Amino acid sequence: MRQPHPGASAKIPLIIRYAVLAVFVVGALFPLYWVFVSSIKPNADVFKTPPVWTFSPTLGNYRQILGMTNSSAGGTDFVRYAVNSTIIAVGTAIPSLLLGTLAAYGITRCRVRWGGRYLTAVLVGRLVPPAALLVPLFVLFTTFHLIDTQLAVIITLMCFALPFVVWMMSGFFSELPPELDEAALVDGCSRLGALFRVILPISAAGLVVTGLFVFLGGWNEFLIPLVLTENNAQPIAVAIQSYVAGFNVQWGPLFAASALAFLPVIIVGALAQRYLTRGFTSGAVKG
Amino acid sequence: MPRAGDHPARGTARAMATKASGRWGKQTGKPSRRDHRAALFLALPAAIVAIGVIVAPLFYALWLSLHRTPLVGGSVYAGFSEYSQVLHSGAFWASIGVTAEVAVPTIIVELILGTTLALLLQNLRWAGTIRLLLIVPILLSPAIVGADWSVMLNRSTGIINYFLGVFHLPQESFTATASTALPTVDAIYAWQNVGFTLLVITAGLASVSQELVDAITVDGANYIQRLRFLLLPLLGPLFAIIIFWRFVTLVEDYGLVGLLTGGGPGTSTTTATLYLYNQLTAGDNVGLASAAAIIIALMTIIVGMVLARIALLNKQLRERGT
Repeated sequence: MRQPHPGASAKIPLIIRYAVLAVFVVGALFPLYWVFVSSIKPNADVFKTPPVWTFSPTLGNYRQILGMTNSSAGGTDFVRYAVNSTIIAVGTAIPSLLLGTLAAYGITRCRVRWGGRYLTAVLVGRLVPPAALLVPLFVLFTTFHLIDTQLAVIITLMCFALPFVVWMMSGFFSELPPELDEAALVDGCSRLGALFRVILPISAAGLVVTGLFVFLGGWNEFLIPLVLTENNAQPIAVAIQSYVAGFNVQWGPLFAASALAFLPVIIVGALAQRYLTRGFTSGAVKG
Repeated sequence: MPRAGDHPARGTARAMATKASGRWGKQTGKPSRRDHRAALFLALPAAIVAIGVIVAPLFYALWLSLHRTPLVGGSVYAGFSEYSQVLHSGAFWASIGVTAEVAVPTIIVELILGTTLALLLQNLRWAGTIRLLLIVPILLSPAIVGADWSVMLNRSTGIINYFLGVFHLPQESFTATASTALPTVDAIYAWQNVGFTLLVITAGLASVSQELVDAITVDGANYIQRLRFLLLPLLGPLFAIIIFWRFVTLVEDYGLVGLLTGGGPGTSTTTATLYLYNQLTAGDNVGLASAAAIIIALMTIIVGMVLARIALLNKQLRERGT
């Protein structure tokens, strides 16, 4: 992204632009720095005011939440929560990307007239707040004995991710010239062949962005697993509650657990960063 | 037969991420039967899953809302009595008010700051890196963000109040006082999500053609005029899309406000989603909770569709105008 951007640039001196941006970067990242620093502070230093800036770092909080100490009852099943978060995030992303992409391809590339109505229906489905469905979902999954399983959370989250995938992917697909799949069909591809061999490879950036957001949504979701899981299938985002519940806030473990929950999504986000801007770029602006 | 490109919802789909090059216009041919079958086959699985887990539960909630279900004994048909009870409840309307007070200022602040940041980053050498740093918060779990901020905003031991003290500013109780709790919630939402506007607007700015900018510059437009008459109008549909998605995600969020304030003090930060959750977990009247769920779902759908329409209308007007 090195070519000069249009519209640039105001006659604001570079130094001021960098200064303003620096303030915002500090504002965005200081809380995360603080979470991390507090997580490696000795217990006695965590909530001192004024804060202790120099201390001997310790991994005690991490040991505690990973259950590597037997000193306290706070030793929790953090590893299990992390595994659950991973299963839920990946388990939501893959099927919703697959089904959503198929649907998006069908309605944008097959020249059907109900495509618009399908998209509107999908949109309305997305607008139903998950909180409104909690009782029915609880009853539904109780009936099928799926309460406190990752599957229940995955099925639910997938449904709320699907509309997003369909909308994003139809945006990307409808950009491509129709000659592309026509050529593939003439060459003897099936519809699915045209999708997987021709259309998907050139929509890779869109697929990555969409997939990233669905993955993040699954990893970070709170309300659905709060209601549908108890202990066995609980992800980190829900388990984090136990450190702040009631009057006994466990600061150190809270910050350590936060840091561990933040780490994977920051890495994934950094890896996908060049797609992030390009994925949305695909156009929307005329001119 | 209307051209495929004129279909309203397709217009919206394109508004999400397409160049208005009229490519749809080429597809004037009637869909072949084969195409039709293929599309049906492709679109059906997603529809079935969505119907199973969104539509069916919604109808169940509708049924529940029309019945009174005591703890013992069967449920009795109650008509719309639960609905009228919800609509006459002060707590319900208060939660709708809180939702608006969270959504409107938060989205406005995000739009202004996100767009400013995107403009400041234009043509900077380190734009990519700085942008990555700025968007980190949107990657994080709102619930964990809420929990961490609640600690950092603590009246006596929080780091934020320590800094206020360092700069001789009055210390605040933030989430502990009704008058400051709501602005605090707004601020934390904006802190976490300003990066979304930044991303979308960056993408939008990058796709404005250099020729247009050159043309208007040759005509003597200065930076402010370029912004006012070229860039911001071109970005219009993107603003509409950002407002739409942020509305949807803000309204349904439970985690951030739930762990930051828990809806308190009192009910000063109880949004519609928190109100619903409280109703449901109180558990004494499933019918009432379901009626509230249906009403809130309807309100969300209506506002959401209006916002989607604006995004679409914007797009169509511009297509016609140029």
